[in-house]
Amino acid sequence: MLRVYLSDLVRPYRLGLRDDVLERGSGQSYGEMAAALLRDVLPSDQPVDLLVFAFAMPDVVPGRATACYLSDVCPGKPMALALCDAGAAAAFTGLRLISQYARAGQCGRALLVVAEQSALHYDLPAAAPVPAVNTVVALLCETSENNGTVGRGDRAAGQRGGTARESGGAGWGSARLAAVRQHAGVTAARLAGLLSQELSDLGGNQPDATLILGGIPAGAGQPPAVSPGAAKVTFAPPGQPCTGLWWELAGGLPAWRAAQRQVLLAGYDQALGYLSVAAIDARPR
Amino acid sequence: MTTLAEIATYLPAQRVPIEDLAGPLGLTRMQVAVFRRYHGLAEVRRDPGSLADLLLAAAAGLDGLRGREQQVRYVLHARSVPVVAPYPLNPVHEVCQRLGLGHALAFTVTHHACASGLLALDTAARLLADDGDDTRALVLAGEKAFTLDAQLAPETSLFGEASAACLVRPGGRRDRLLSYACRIRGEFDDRRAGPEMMGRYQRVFTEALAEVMHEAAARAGTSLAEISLVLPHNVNRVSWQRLAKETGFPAGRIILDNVPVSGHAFCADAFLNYRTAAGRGLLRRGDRYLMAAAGAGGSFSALVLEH
Repeated sequence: MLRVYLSDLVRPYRLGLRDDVLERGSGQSYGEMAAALLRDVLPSDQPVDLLVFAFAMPDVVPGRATACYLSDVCPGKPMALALCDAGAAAAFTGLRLISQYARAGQCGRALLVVAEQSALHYDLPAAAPVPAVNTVVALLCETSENNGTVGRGDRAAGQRGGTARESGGAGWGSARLAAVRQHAGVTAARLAGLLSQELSDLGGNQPDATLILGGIPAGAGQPPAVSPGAAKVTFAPPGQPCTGLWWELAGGLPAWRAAQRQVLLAGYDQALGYLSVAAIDARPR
Repeated sequence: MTTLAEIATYLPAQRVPIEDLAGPLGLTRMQVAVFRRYHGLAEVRRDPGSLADLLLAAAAGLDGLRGREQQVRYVLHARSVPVVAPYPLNPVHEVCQRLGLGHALAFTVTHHACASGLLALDTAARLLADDGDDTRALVLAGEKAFTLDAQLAPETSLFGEASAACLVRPGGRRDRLLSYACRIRGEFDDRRAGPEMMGRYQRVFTEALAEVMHEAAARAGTSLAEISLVLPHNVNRVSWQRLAKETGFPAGRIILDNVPVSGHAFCADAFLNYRTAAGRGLLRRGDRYLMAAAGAGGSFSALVLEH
């Protein structure tokens, strides 16, 4: 059935199927990859209220309602939905939705799950980033007790190929999701100025800021073009166009929280013209 | 309070009797007869253009969009089939470019199958919550029946091509979005599909859909009995007749006119039914009506609005 579906998918575009990829059974199903991660990191006695699944690269099981499947895997069997067709921006839109659910009092604990996989069953019709590895990252957010907004990034975990990283458990404490901003129609020419302005507005020039940049072309992401005062600038690893930012967050957040830093994530999708910025603040209030 | 500022729909001219689908879909004469007599299906529509063309045809009917493109901050495609174009081709972004909406954040809302339309309305409302009264979200629905799984739901329905475009706004007075209820039943995940699971799904379908309809009505401060109209997903006639019988909701207040006309038009059904209801003068000011849909893979949703 997959071959039938893929043949019908590519026919209008006169693309060839990659029989080698199909016959090897290459690729990774998002459902199985994410379910394994969630089973490992979610305490079964802590129900989740909302799951937002973000992806850009198609699943090797492309017709599956994976978000619904993951809801069944999660404690609490939460409301679940998926966002796609927005490149790396989909995950940031997911965070915005989580914030809105929390502000409406409809979400005490939410999961953002971002996934990508490396197998494409047909010839690429246009230049686009193709992941080099299969990766899933989950960010667990909890609503803070006093103001009903998303307060804490409690746990971020990832599985990439055979490598796991998790930053959760004791000693995490609070790291607030302070802001998520998105811009559309951002050309490469506008990027450096807009990025610099956003990071400056969010405190990215401060010495206690850590920046994680993804999809930012060389030059636009380097000081002095952006945040000359930031003490630390990290780049999303190559080969992870959607999950890279979140993979770095999962790996670095415990130390940044312990050091009471503010972490700013900035992702740019040049083909779609989206710039997304998020601020996770572990500084004392 | 979020409102639906305007709804426009597009029904392609090409009408295909379901008997003509038998060969391509491998259906027997008996199966087609069951679809016609029992499920209430008669014909489906087909459009010669692309998915972007289909969506643009509906958007062309939005009087409130022309000249006000700058108000649109979000464009959401409500999609039953998660992947409909080879990566990285992106029909929703093509639609944005052709409509002059390159300044908007555009994405697809999915994994609720044919209930993704209701999800998209709720998602749009949440994103607009912090925006001013002069902002809009454009929700698009409709898909190409490009592959077998997008043409036939075995023993259940036949899919048709049609589309809808809905401008959603914060504030406004008419068609106020009062509540949204959704239940995810991921145990009906496609990978576990088999006769046993399908049997369970059929038994759960009516109960789960009725549950969210009652919940949405309660959240809107009313009851299902007081709902003036139900705008369903056009999966077939018999499922909704069964639900009416189980809940006691009058079958005559469920708009099923389009089942034999368009078939199951993916996430566009409720919007097509809205236009039918409006055209028949069935929606009066102050009426509370309900959109409801179920999605394969395990989602059941209902949304209450006030006209």
